[in-house]
Amino acid sequence: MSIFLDTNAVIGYCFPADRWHPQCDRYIDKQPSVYTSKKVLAEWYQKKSFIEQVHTASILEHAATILKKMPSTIEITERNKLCAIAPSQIKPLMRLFYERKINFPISKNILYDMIQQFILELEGKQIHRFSSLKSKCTVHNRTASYPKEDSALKPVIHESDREILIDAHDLVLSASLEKLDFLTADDMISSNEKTIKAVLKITLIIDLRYQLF
Amino acid sequence: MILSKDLNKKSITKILDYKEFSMVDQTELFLDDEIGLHNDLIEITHNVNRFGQEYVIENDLLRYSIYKLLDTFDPKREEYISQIRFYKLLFLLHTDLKKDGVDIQLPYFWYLHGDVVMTSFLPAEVFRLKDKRGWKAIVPASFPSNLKIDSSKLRTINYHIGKLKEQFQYAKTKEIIKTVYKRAPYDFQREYKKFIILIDIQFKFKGITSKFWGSPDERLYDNQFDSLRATFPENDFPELYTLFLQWELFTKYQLKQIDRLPKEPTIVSINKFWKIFSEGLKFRCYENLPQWLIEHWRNEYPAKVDAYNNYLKNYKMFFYSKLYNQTDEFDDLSEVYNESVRLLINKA
Repeated sequence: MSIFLDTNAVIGYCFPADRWHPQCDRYIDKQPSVYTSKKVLAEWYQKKSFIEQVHTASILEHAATILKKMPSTIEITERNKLCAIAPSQIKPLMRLFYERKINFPISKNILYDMIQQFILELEGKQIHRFSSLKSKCTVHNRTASYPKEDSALKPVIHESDREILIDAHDLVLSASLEKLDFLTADDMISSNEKTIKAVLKITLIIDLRYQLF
Repeated sequence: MILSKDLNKKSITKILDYKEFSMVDQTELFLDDEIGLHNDLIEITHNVNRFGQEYVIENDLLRYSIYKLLDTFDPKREEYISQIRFYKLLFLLHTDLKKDGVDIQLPYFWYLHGDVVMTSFLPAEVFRLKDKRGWKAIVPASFPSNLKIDSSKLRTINYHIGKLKEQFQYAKTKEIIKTVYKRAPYDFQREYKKFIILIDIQFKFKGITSKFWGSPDERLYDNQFDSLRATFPENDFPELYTLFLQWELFTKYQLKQIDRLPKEPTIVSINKFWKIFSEGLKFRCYENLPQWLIEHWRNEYPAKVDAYNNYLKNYKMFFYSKLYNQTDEFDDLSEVYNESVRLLINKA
């Protein structure tokens, strides 16, 4: 079977943190032919960058604050202070990191290096997921436009989602695929399956939210 | 600033090519100080000429200083003073004089390879550049007679030019550049220069140092990164601070693994960061430049920061997929990490 991944399916596959990750992981890995489009990757890339920017920047700045505010050697009694100076969105993560990974007393420079290592590992995991997805996925680049189909979907589907659905439609036509299922977690797309199937050459809309795979 | 000469554009592009996340504009490499300074001048002259606006510093102190400096260093008119040497000496003279209360209004700014004197803004009648196995600065045969200069200021200028001659008549240009760098507005500029020299040495003698002394590279790098971090002007460059920390993260890893990794991406990354820092430097650290030029530089800067940010994002993809060796050291923290990322996924 051939499937086409919507942006939330790519996010679900690449981010173990995403709530649809288990479904995406199990389902996508089993498929013989996986497709997506440039538009999907661009959307995924934007979201990924936002997440990394906020999250990674917080951890990096926290590490730099340690160098500025903490003594050269940090004793176990100062562990709470370390947690206190962490930005709120990473506080639980850093607390666990200090509890499980750090043997106090520790030099603040060594601690800085360890936090850097921690970031590399966390970020690296997601990129590896993406690389693995890319190795099994064909990226479709649509050049044709479909004004009639676009107008028919306009009353029910948002513009960026329409573009992605039409990417899938174009793929079926240009690659002469017999069947193509569309994998998504988007409520608007899922609830308008009938309209979409009537207008576009998409076989099934598979809603990640209701699949156990 | 310096770094390896043994790179070619093709090999870099090949290594950095990562399908749609390919990185563009990789061609800038670290250059020898003098070549680099010359390139700075070409780039800036081109940049300024686009405006087609006339701007010349009308100051007799500057006219006199230029003439007297060249006349003192090249009294027999042998025409051997390179334009870079001339500009650097002029900068030293300007800063020496300012300390003594004399302002010759030298138009300059700080950039990639140190200070850049804006040639086209200097009074043209007291010197010219001659192409003679590289550009040389020369003076007209006769002294400009109609200059109005206070005699005590004249004495101060002569005194400082005499001191410069004593110190630098036979010095190499590199020595002069080193002295100029001591007057750089930020310690970070000096530390970055030291960092580049360190990388250059390590790359050139890769394998030799570790053969004799074990592996000293890591400690050296650590110390230099510590100094870079300690001197980064966070308050003046807040827009680059997080980017700097991210740059450090990747660069440090790559340098520590340089025996198994290609050095080209590291060089490109080091160059790129220096370039964006220098772009922020040029409209912050300058003297006697027209406001229209400063405004133009200031206005185009945010787009350059965005471009750097995009480069870093692409570089990150390349780094993790091609260079970084994943471990399972922190797997037991993945649940709580996922928790904090989940909140952001919903916001994104």
